[in-house]
Amino acid sequence: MAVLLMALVGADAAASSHLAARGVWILAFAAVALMAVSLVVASRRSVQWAIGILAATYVVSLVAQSVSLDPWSPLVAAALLAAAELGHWSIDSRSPGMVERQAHIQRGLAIGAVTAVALGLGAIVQAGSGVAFVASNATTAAATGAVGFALAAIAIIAWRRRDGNLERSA
Amino acid sequence: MSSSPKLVGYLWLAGLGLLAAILFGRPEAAEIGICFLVAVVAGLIGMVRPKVLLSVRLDRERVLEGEEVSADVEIEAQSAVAWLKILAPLPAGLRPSSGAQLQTIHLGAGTQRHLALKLVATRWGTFKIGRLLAESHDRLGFFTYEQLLDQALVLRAYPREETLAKAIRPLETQVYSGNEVSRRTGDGIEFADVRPFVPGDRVRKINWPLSTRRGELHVNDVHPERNTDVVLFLDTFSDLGASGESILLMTVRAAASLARHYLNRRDRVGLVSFGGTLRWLLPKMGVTQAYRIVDALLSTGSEFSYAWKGIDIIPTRTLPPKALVIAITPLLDERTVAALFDLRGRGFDLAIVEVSPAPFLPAPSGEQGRLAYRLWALKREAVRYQYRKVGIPISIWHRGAPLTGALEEVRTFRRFARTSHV
Repeated sequence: MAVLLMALVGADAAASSHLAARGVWILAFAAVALMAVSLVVASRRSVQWAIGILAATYVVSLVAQSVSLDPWSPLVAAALLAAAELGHWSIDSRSPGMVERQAHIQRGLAIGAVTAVALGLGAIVQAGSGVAFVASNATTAAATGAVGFALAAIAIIAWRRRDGNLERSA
Repeated sequence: MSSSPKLVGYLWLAGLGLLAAILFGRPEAAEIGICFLVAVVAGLIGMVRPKVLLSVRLDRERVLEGEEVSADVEIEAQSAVAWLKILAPLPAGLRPSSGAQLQTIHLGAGTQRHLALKLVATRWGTFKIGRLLAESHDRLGFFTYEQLLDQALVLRAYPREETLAKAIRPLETQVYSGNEVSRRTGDGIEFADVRPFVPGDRVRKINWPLSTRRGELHVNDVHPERNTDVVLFLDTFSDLGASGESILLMTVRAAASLARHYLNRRDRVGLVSFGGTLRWLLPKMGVTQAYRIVDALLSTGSEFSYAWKGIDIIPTRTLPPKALVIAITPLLDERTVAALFDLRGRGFDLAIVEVSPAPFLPAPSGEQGRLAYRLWALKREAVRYQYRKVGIPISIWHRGAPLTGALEEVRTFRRFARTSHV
C-alpha cells in the first residue's frame, strides 16, 4: 500500500511536469524503488529517505512548471504521510511472534486519524495561500524564524521527555 | 524510553518542507511539512508513560524431561497501551510448545490480560525463568518504553528414566536385608544346597525326604536376601554434543535410571561425579536419597580442568567396601581411564558403561582425517581390551539405544568371566 501510494504521488508529479519530465520520472521511480527495497530489508531510515526524495521531486516539479497552485497538493502531502506511516507499520509488525488483531486495528485507526487531520490542515493552508498577501523580506524572515522556533520547540519537548530508558519490575 | 528514528526523520521532513515553502514560495511544500509536523505533534500528545504490571506464574515447579508446563503471564495495564510487545526469553533446553515467546497485544486502561505459554523441557536441568521484557509503543510508534521483569522462578526438569527390568548384579551383598539374593548361605527363602545336619541346626530346616532316603539327617541351606551398595561413578571431565543431545545428558539419564532401579530394591546408592569439580553423595537408601541424587544430577555439568585427579581425592566413605561401582563414562579423559584401573586395583567390583562419543563427532574428512579417526578408534579399543583383561566388564552404549542392552552386555561378561575362572 505504501509503495502504491508513493507510485501514485510520483506519477502525479511526473505527469504534471512539462519541463525536465524525464528527470522527474527517474527521481520518482528511484524513490518508489527505494521504498520497496526499504520495506524488503526493513530499514526505517531508508523509508524516510524515499519519502524525502519523492517530496523533493514533487516540489521541484512544481517549481519547474511554475504553476500558481496545485489543487491536489493536500492529497499529495497526506499520501506522502500515509505512505511513510504504512511503511513504518509494515516494518514494526514484522516481529517473529504473534501480533493481536486489535493492535493492528488501533495502529490503523491512529494512522487514519493523523492522515485525516493532516489532509484537513493541508486544505486550510491551501485555502489560506489563495488570499492576496504582499510578501517582503521581513515576512520571509518572520516565517523562517517561526518555522525554526516551532521545530526547535518540538525537538526540545521530545528530547526532554526522554527520561530513564529501562524500567525494572520486582 | 527511547524514540524511534522516525521522529527525527519526520522533524527533518517537516523542517525542510517549511523552509522550501519559504525559499521557493510554494505553499505545497508547506503542506507536506505540516503533514509531518502534525504526525510529530500527535505523537508527542499521546506520549504518556504506560503503567504496566507484569507477573509470571508456573503451574508447577518440577517436570519430567519432555513434559509440558504452563506459564501464565499476567499483564495489568493501568493506562492504555496501544502496542505492547511481550518477550519471554527462554533458556536453552526450554522451548514453547504452544503460544509464542514474543506476542504483541493492545491493552485498554485498567484491563488485565493473561497470556498462556506452554513450555517443554527438551533436556533435564534447572532452568531459571521469569524474565520478561515488555516494550510499549505509542499509537504511531514514535516512542518505546521498556520494562524488565526479573522474577526468580526455577523450573526443575528431571531426567526421564528408563525402566530397567534388570540391572547389574553386585558380586557381594551387604548385611542389611534387601532384594538381592546373596551368594552366601544363611536365613532366607532361595534354596542353595543340602548338607548333613550339625548340632545347632534348626529342626525346621531338616530335609525329611532326603534324610529318610539317606538314613541320616540332612538340612537345607538357603540364600539370604540382602541389600547392596551401589556407587554411580559419573565422568564429567568432558562433554560432546549439542544441548539437545550430548554425552553428559545421556550419562545423567543413565545414572538416574540406575539410581531409581537400585533404590527401589532397597539398596544403598551413592554418587561420585568425577570431573573438574568433584561432587559426591554418600550411599544411602530410601526416597530422600532418590531426591538427593536427582537434585545432584541436575547440577551436574562438565567443567574443564587441567589438574590431574585420581581416586585419592574421593572421600573414603563414598566408596564402601564390597560396593558395586558402575562407571558411566565416554572414556575421553585419561584421568578417568586411570582412576578406573585404580579402583579395580583396590578390589572394587567395577563395571563400565561407555557412552559412545562417536555419534557426537564430526565425520572425518579427507584421507588423513579418516586415518586419524581409525587410529583413535583403535586406541579406544585397546583401552577396552585392557579393562577386559583385568576383569572389568565394559559395554558400549550408543545414542538412541536402550540402556538395558548395554547392561545386559555387562551382565553377560560377568557371567562368562565367573564361569571361566571357577
